[in-house]
Amino acid sequence: MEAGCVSGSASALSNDENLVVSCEDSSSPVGNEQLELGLTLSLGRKGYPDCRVAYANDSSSSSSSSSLSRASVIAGIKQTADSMAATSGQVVGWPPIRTYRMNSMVNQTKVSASEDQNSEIRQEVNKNRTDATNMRNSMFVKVTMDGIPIGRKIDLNAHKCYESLSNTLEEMFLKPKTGLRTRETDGRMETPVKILPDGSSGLVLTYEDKEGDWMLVGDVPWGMFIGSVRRLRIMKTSEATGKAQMIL
Amino acid sequence: MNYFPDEVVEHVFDFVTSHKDRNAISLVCKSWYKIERYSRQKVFIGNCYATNPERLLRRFPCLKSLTLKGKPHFADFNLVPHEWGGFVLPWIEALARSRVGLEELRLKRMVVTDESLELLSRSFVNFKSLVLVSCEGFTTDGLASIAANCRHLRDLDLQENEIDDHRGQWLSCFPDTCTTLVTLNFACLEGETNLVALERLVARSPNLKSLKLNRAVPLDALARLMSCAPQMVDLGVGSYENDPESESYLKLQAAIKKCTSLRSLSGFLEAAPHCLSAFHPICHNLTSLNLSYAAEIHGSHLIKLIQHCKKLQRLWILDSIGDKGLEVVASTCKELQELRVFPSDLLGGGNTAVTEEGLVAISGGCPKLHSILYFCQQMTNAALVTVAKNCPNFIRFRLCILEPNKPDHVTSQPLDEGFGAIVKACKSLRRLSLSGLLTDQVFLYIGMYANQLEMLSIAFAGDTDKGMLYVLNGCKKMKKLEIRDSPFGDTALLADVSKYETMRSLWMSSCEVTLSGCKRLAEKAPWLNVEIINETDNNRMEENGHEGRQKVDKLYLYRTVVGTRMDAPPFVWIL
Repeated sequence: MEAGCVSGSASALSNDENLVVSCEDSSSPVGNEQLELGLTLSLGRKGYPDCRVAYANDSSSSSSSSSLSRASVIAGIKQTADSMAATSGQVVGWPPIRTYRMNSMVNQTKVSASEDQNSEIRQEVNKNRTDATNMRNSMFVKVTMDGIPIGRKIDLNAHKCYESLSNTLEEMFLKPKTGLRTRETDGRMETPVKILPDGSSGLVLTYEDKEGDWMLVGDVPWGMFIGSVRRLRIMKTSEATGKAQMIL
Repeated sequence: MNYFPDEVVEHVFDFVTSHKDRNAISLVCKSWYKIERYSRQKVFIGNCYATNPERLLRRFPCLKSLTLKGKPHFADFNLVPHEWGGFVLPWIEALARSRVGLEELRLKRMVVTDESLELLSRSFVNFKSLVLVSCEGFTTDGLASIAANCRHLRDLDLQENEIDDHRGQWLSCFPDTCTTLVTLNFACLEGETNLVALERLVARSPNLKSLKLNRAVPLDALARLMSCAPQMVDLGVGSYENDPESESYLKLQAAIKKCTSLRSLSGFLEAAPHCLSAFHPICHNLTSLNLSYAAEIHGSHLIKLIQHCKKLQRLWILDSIGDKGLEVVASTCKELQELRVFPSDLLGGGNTAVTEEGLVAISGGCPKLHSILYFCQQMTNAALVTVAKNCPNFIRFRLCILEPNKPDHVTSQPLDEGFGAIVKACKSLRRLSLSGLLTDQVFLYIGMYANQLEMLSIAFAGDTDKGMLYVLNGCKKMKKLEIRDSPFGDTALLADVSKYETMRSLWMSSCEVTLSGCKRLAEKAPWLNVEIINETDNNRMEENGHEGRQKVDKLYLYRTVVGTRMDAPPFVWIL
């Protein structure tokens, strides 16, 4: 027994172990619901005043809605991005609210956002929110495209919005290695060409959700999409319309 | 006591339940150590990597209840990568092999898998109580095993976990013979719930005291559930939307009136505010109210409800209640001990958010207040000084000013003096979280006055290493120190290495500590695990010629009696 190795002194051993097996800390016991405050977050270190966050009124951000200003200011300040590469442009862990609660606010925000704000703002909101969900595991889902026999896999957690996903999918599927297309035409591809079924590309992006239904990508907030997507499929518009009619 | 036979001593020890006290007892002499370890039934391990299952079982072979905490606190805010660690499976495997009579398992911030839950459910005949807080990695399939196999299950309490909801029939996995449930909390499940199975389960559980539903349980089901469980003490309402004229709402009103034992109310994940009045008849009995998820209920309805809650001891609420609402709380809830005010709108301000006025009002009106978590728009030193004067009994004081680095909004000064007043007045303060514009001065105060402080959370604060040194030198009872984005570096880190033996852990992220500083620390203190979490580029630190001077992104160090852990992922370096 290990006690024998510790100079034969039971108290020395138990002191070690007691430190380990020590009393409950002063935060509420495990049994209570807890939402632990870390700290406030500013977006720069002390001594770097230029990194201070501008107040809502000061912001010269193009967004006119004052209710957006904080989020866009937060999102805009990138100096800590180097140390927080996973969420480029956003500060990790701000505000210090447990993931579960943040996710729950996604749902609430969707409800209120749809009432008075445009989808651009909603995207911004959901960008911040889904930080929570996205910081987790890689989430690889299959992506197939009609007419291409071999499928691909994409890590949805590497993206925080539909635009980014769309760009990646375009690169995967519409930039063939044979170089049939010039870089210009590639670059000029409208984004999100595959998200919006505008018919211009003849393609539409759909996903299978948890319930087994095939849905159009882009309708729901990103966080909700992430939570229910099982796999992706790039369909021809004609087929998609047919399916949409079935759903409706 | 030396003249008493062991059984008598052991019997006396039975009355000593706190971990601190039992640890103290075990140090008195060898005989007491032996008696204590065989009689200890509840073990608390604040850091699962500080020891291992084998040592636990060797010392406490008769344990019945185990509490384990895994990831560091900042994992709650996504600062710790998902695969960092905190796996419970090895613990359950070891406990199962040893045939210890485990009855209760409480986990926080650990990775739990369906496999672990299945093994747990099959290995301990008398298993009674499972409490999971902020855990992840499992699905409702794991819950199904627990339901199906734990014959004497008393508590299944899932708090704010990330659970993959397979929409299976886990609730119907409780056998018909299961009638022992006391606590059932599945509020964090996102999927559909088998209402029939739920109602049957509640109906056959006469001891059910705590029931917390998820958002998939509609109001009419709630009415039925409450009707067959009038003994309910703690209720978490799921979805609460309905027409106040409807029959199910009337049934609900009738059912609520019968629940005379109801003391705690929470949930309202989706809520129609005008239906809140159904709860007014029992509000005068409530001691705990958690409306922090009820984003759809506006301040005025909250206030109407709270006005009936004169006996409230614990209140969790959204800042949509506003300063005016907090004034109502202050004048109504004279028994209030714990208050948490969460932000309802992270986009920006809004005029319903709370300010320093609300905090001052609460401190003035609630003499028994000892724990507070307060998210707000702004703060002043003057307000904090007043709060300190009004409430010198704080045990936990956590303030989060949403606007980063914000100074006193009246004087534009740092908030050093305000927090200084708090630590000076509150002699029993055990936990403190700082925010706003802060210099080294606040740490001088903390080191000087916060003698009982055990946990301190710092972000974007301080000017030099002196700040951290004040804390390390002054706070003799410090156990958990977590720091982010503050200019503390190697000097502070290395000043007193033996200090870390008295602490559970230290977290420093985006500070000024360098790799060579951490290496020196690891050399000086082999009984510490010094972990560098470096997710961005695994090779960057080595390839860089100035390796030693490279700043460490995330440092997590903790004392341990079992050395380096074997389950660390590649991006975690243990020096």
